[in-house]
Amino acid sequence: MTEFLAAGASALWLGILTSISPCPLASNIAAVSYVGRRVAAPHRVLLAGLAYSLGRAVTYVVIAAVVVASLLSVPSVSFFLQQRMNQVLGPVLIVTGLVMIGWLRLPGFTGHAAGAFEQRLAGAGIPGAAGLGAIFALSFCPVSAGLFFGGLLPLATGSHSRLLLPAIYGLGTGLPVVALAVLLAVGAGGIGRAFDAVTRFERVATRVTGGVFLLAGVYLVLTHIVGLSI
Amino acid sequence: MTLRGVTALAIALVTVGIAAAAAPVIAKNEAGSEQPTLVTPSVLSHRVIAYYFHTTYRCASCRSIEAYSREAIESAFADELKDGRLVWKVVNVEVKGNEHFVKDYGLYTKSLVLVNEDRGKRTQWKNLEKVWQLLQDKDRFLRYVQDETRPYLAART
Repeated sequence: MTEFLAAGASALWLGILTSISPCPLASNIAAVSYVGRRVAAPHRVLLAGLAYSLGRAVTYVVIAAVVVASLLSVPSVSFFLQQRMNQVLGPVLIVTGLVMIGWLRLPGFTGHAAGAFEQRLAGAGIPGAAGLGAIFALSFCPVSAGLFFGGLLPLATGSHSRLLLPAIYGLGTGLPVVALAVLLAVGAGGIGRAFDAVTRFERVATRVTGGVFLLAGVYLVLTHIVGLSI
Repeated sequence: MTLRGVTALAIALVTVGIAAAAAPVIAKNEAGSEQPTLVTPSVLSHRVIAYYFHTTYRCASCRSIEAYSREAIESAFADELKDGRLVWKVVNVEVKGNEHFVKDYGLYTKSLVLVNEDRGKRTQWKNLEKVWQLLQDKDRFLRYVQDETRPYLAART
């Protein structure tokens, strides 16, 4: 039992280490702004944060299961996720950001349908946060690859806990984002209430989130596709 | 720039992104000029090669790992580096001709790998995987790399 607790604590710490490194900064900033934008209700921010972390945990459990079952080799999975997912994530964030700000209407959605879809995208709470976590966890960077494949997986295999420890690791990668989002939401909500303008703050927060998505997407396209060293 | 300009620029980036993401994964020849890494065969009966493997995309943490690893080796093993018993090599695995290193050492990210060579033949190797966990603690990082390198240098196979 003590050994398992120690392994669990190590998995959590590896997750936190992954999250606080500079490499996933762009996606973490996007996640903080998305999870924390419900400034009127800090409890919703906390729930969205937990959903975001659970989404990440699910992704890591699936990858661990695939690798442990030897369906795919570690190098091929790792390099694919590092190269391809960051390239895919950039354009996805740009389009999502443009839609959230209201600068882009998706083709196929017109009139009320478009409005409703865009509102859903901008307002998607718990399921949206979980989906975001799952997608962001897929975009590996060198740090997450080093800590997940080199630190977490050997720990999980050695402890015969091939699914629970990856899940704890996933929760750890979400923890700093949740903590920061809750702090920001409480702070912004407090300021909003002081000026009696919480609803306006939330509208602004959604547009700011769109802007952050747009910038994070442009950053990922420039670094992972154009090849600029920023 | 107008709103339409910003949106058009963003859409252009998305298009480029989708095109690049859809392209097959091929080894890049960085800047079209980088040559595959060759390690000169040794006349020594035994030597250790410390490889730092990276890709064309270099992140801040990866640069730190390279710098700390180099410092760990240069500060503790200056004599061995000078007489060739220890060789420091930085390799971009995405350069054409270097892809085999990924398979040779089962690489999955930027890595520091120690290789023991006996009369030019690889006899033993180790991926120092803890470099990622010790990155926040430079002293422990340097000690870890030096403690792992010492037995390799002392090995006689």
